[in-house]
Amino acid sequence: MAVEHNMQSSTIVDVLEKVLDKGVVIAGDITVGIADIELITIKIRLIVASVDKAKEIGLDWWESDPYLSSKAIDHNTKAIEQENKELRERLQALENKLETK
Amino acid sequence: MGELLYLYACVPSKEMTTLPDLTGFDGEGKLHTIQAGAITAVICSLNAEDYNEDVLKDKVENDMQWLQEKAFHHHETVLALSKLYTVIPLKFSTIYKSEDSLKQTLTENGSKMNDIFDLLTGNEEWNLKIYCDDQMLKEQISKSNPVIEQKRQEISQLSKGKQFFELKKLDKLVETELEEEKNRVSERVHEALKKLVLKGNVKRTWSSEVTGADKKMTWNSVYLISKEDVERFLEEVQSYDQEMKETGWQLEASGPWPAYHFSSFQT
Repeated sequence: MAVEHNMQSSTIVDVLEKVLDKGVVIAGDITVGIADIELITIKIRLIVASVDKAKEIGLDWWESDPYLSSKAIDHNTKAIEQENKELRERLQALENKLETK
Repeated sequence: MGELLYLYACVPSKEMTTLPDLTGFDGEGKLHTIQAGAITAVICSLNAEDYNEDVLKDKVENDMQWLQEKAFHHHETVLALSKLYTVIPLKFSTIYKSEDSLKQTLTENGSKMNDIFDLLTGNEEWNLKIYCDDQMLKEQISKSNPVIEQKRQEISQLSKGKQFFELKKLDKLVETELEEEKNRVSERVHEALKKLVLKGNVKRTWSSEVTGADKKMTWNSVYLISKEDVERFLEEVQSYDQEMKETGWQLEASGPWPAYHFSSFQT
């Protein structure tokens, strides 16, 4: 549809092309030239695409690996807490059963 | 070693208000401004050891993740500024070694920049992309084009062996017709839209390798549009899109973008 401004692949390319290739060139003391915008864009798009793809097929393990992501630590702690709670409840239930015998 | 100044954009000094709280290129510092007469530069400071020329060159060439992140940072910063001020967006990674050197550059380019500000004030940059379903259009062409129809008739009279080669030739003809038709239609849309805008430039289309999209991009153009005409422009694009959808066309407008395509000048 017309009039959209989201992160579709074309927008990624748009941003890269504009930022790396367009924009006013005035002499800086340091300017980093980028030789082949098309090649760079393809390389970057592949990274972006592979991250999206990986998420799609569930290959986003790095997001839950505490060594790779700070977000994951939080997530893991919660999961362990939940498991602890469930185990405690099961233990309680078993003890109750034993007592009633 | 000291400090470097990363330049994002230039803004007319008379429009400057208190800069919003924006994070710098290194993810830590804040943006600030330096004024040189009528031009105000929006910058951030960088540690000269971490961001010297060699480091930047190496990153740009070898660390695509970094480049993507920083390119988006640059863009998002300029975009945020362009919502508040008339903005001349700078190219990625324009860096100065001192305030004096930045000021000098601004002063040298001052009158040209003022001309650009005049051009941009009150206007927005929009991008139009036209896509087309080649297969669908090809079918229409081979049906409706009398030359092709006649050729096909002729070929059907030939022997099997000859048919093979003649059909190959016919395919080529259809391909050529297809490209011409795509250009004709896109150009017609472009010319019609140009009546609503201040400036319109045609850009290179991207290969599907670049976009990663299945559909073929047939047209890519940018427009500088007066703010009050933007709605009409978008309505027009939308009505073309609706009208041409059934024949395999798709029109996509995006914006407003910082005026990356209308800010350039010769230094």
